[in-house]
Amino acid sequence: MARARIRIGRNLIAEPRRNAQARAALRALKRAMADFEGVEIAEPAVKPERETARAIKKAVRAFYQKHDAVERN
Amino acid sequence: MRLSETNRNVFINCPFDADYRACFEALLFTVMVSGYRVRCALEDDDAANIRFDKLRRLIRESPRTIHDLSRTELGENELPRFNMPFELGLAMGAKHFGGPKRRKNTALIMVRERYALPAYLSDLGGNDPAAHGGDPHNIMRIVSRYLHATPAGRLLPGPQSYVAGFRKFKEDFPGIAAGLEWHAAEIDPFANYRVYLLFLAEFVRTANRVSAD
Repeated sequence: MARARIRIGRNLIAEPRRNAQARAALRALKRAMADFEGVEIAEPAVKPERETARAIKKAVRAFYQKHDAVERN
Repeated sequence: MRLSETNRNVFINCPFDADYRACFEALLFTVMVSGYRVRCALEDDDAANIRFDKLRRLIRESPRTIHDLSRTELGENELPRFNMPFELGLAMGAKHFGGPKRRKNTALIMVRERYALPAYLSDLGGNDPAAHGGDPHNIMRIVSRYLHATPAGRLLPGPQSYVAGFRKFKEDFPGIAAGLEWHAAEIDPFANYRVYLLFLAEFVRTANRVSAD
């Protein structure tokens, strides 16, 4: 219990910094890829296992989206 | 005119070795971000399938083909690498003998230096290959010019947009891979082609989604 409380506390301190980083990454992504807006991406010809595809999708989204400390704990 | 899913296929015929890695990554990025589907021998890693059948199927399904002959050179065993010219020959055979549907197929031929091709493939003397000098940015310029429009018919952005987008992907990739406890170097586009392509596709999709917001 105490350990969980410490973890939540640490995350609450780290969270704004991580969120700021994610927001900055997202802004830079928008800027770098702005000219491709509206280009419809073709589904890759490779067929991944569902779990692999889900994990990759999650990792990419997590990189650019804000973190939520309480939910993660 | 909007192209069907099949017509988005772009077959890539290039060397699969470490020295070509940066060029291969640039190729994959350019084709995918332009809205086309990469088709490549690496997508089928089933060793039970016969390689020639795999190539035949890929070429049959791809109205556009990109051939990089830049590394048709002597290997460690003092023998030249014939795979790339062979696959180009298959694609040209499909175009000329494959019936009316394939007559519209197009091909992009790339070399390292412009005037070296006739020395080893004089039959292509009348064709006009594009020289990239081994530079991934040149590859993005050449390939985007070849594709020139999205499958939906919209004009593609200029080469600088590709360079900026590719740079961003390369910059963020280690961080994204770390989220899955992978080191970016472990996701090799040759050895781990399928996973690499999925990362790239998800990156481009995410960029599209956030741009639309």
